[in-house]
Amino acid sequence: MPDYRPEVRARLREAQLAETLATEIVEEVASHLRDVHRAALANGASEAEARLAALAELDSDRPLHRALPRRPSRDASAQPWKSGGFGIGFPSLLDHLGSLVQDVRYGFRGLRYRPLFTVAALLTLTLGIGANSALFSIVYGVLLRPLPWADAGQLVTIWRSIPENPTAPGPLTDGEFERLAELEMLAGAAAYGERQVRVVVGDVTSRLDATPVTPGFGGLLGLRPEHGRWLADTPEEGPEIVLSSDTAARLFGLAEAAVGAVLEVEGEPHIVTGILATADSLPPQSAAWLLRAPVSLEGATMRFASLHVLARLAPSGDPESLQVALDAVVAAVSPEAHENGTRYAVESLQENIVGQVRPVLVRFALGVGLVLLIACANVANLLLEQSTSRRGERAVRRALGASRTRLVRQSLVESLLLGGAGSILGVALAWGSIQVFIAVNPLTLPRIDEIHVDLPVLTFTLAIGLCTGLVFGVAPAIRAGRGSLHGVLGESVAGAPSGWGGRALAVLELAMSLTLLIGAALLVHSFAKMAFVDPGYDADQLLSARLDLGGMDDAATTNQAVAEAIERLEAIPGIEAVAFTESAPPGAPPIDREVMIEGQPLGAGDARPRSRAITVGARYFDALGLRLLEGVAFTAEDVADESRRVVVNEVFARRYLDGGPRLGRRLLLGGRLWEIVGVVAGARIGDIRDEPAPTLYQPGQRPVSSMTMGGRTVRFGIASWLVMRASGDMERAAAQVRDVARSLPPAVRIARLDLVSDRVWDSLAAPRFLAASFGAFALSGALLAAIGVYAVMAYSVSRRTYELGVRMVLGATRRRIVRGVMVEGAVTIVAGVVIGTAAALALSRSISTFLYGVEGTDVLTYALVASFLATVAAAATYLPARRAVSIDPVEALRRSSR
Amino acid sequence: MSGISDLKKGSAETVILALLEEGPLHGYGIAKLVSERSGGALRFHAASLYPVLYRLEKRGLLRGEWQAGKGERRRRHYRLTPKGRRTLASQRGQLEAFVEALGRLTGIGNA
Repeated sequence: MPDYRPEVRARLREAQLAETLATEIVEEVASHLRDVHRAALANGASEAEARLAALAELDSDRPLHRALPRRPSRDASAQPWKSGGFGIGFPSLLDHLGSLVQDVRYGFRGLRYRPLFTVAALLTLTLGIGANSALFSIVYGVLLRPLPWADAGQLVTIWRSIPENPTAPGPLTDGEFERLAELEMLAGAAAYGERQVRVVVGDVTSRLDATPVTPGFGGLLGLRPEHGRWLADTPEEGPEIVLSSDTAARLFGLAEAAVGAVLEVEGEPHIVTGILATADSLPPQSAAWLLRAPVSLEGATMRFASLHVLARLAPSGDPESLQVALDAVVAAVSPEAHENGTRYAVESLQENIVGQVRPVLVRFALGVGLVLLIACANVANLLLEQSTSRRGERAVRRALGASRTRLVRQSLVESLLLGGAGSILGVALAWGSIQVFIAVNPLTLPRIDEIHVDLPVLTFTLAIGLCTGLVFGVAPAIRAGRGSLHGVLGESVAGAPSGWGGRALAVLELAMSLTLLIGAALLVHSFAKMAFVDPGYDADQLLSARLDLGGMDDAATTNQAVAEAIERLEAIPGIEAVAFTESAPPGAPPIDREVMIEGQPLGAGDARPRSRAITVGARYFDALGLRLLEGVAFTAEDVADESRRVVVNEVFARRYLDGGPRLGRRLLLGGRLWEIVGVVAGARIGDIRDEPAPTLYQPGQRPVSSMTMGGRTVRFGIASWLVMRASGDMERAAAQVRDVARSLPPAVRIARLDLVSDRVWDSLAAPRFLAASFGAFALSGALLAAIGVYAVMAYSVSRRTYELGVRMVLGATRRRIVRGVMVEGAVTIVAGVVIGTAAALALSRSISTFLYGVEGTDVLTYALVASFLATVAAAATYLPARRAVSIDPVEALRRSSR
Repeated sequence: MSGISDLKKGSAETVILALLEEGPLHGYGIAKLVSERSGGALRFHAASLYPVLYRLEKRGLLRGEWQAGKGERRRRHYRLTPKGRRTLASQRGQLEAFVEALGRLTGIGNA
């Protein structure tokens, strides 16, 4: 027979009892263990098994030494072993840790014993936390992470803001840049342009989006290439170029290998001096940087506005005072421009890069935040339900000496365990979805390379996981602290008077998911409107080809080649019309220009008529299928001679040509007189979402023009597209066009060929993604809410089994019982719908900028969505109601009376 | 699971007081009786039993005394105090009232 006293004594050590007292307890408990040991032997156990059985007596979730200090000590004299007092010190840290470890163990055990609950809760949490974690990593990478450049907080962009479109950043001219660079408030300034260049490496030719920069550019940003060095301000050994690491890897295989290599840029050899990390690139998508050669002729700088200006604020400067100084510059240089509202706008570089996407991301954050809240409410509900069915277990533990705080703490530990596990799974989910998101980049976000699941994201996820655990764990924990055996009995007799906590959560879930659903429905509705909008042209039968006009070697050759290409493409059977244009739909709308119209005098202060002006070839209207309403279309001669004839669209005619004949009227555009010869139907040739605007079409098919100034020939190119109307199978037509394109002269190359209907679809990628993801959030929210309602009702019914049984015994019909339960559910549903509708109305303004053709307060959408959710919730109520009446009343009473 | 439903009818304390009403018992004896009478459904581990005993003792509901039989080691025996007896009576009264109410309400007697 082993002596158990050392075992017991070891466990008592931490209680720090007085020696006499400890001895007494040790003796009493050890004697108990010996009895257990002996009994086990008598039952046939081996010596080792008996010992294990005895020692098991000491295991409890509440260690002996922690239970003991609560021991009685009222009558010291009657119980001499208490006279020494307990000598209880403050519980040591180790003590706390020990019991915490036990709580965690207990929590794990509890979760393992309830696999269904655990899986449901974890799925819910993983979804909620994962979505938030993914969104946070996007928001953090794109919006919050500091820009990679030195002291980037002081960097600003300066652009021209015109009254017609004050938020569109307009570029500046060289002269303007030079003037601004001298401002004292700036510690430095630099500028960059945009230029597509053709580069040749070995025998491979490719086109790069290059960035011509002014000499101070690298210094201003503190650019440190990964390999090599930045461009010298005054290169000594010929022109230099810096490549982005992606581009270098693409062109040379290994990025490092590129440094020192010679690259032919537009026919001129450039030395690659450095490789810039893609993440450091500015502008972010730039592939290469080279020094900008100002377009100057005979010392006179040309007045092309093509520069994006970057500046560093002096330490004493701030954007507001810079703005004042800039306004003063405009007023001094061009009082006229200042008068009509033209100004230089200052914007922090960060804002300039990410400002546009912030609103979308913020809405997203709101959406996934709501999903997480719903998830929390749902898990809280599950826990509440669980905690009720575990009342018995808790009451016993209370009776056996577990303290109230201990039970509360254990309940919380369990919730935190769930939250923690949810975080881990959530991070995995986030990581996976981010890989997909980055690969697709449906929102064409800037700084997409900055999106990683890294320390800040992990911290955030763990934090929301634990917060979530606290949020959904508090209510059940409070309940865990309550309740006694007596309470357990009392409740089952009185029949579930409470449960308002669970119901309130269900109302909240319904309200939040309705808000989400309404938002999603509005976005989906908008998207459907966009997708089914009639563009006014026949997108399904239209191909568009972006032309790459070589190095624009010679204007005449190039233009001739384009004309030939059009002829040869038109000869393809199944291709009905081919036309040149400077902008194929859908795309950036052609620029607005001022026109003056004959016979339409302007009053003082009248706004001048504005119209889009776009150069098109002869069969443009045939290709797009635009109906000619009046007059004639362009002839081949009009196009070849660039005659001063224009065709206007219906919108132009209605707005500016009212009264009097439309045809034959003349207008002044760009300092020249033009005659209106035709009117065509309006079409959405720009963004598909924009209503047709006043547009005038000018005949022309010369992508390249040249002019001679001061003995030098300067060539200008315009964007060049071909639009082709095909009949029959579009894929086959496209294949045939590609075949022909291969044999076109090198001066004309088709850079990309697309079905216009595909491009229309692609142009809606962002709203589509928004609608789809909000739809997904909202549906998962609704599903969670439905589960929540189901849980609450099922719980309520199960708690009232007894009451329902009594009512049935007393003669209530099944129908009445079902109706009673349904009415009870209806209260929850109506409350949720009312609150949710109110919240959606309040939030409707915040998504109105993303809506198209739908009001944020669209009654039909609200009504449909509310009834959808109400139906789902009613179904979730009906199931438990059915169950309530399917039970045998006597059995119901028997069960609950036990 | 009759063990669980037995538990619902009285707290652990009530169970202990009720057992002691039949006469003094030592700790192991209490644990053994609880286990036997509940058909093994209810068990007291030493680690949870003794704290309850000490708590009841502190509240003056029972009293422990060391006693040794012939040739045996000494054990601590617990007996009900008058206060313990009163407490047990009132707890039992509540229980009986409940069971009786249940019977009247359902007409199916003590389930």
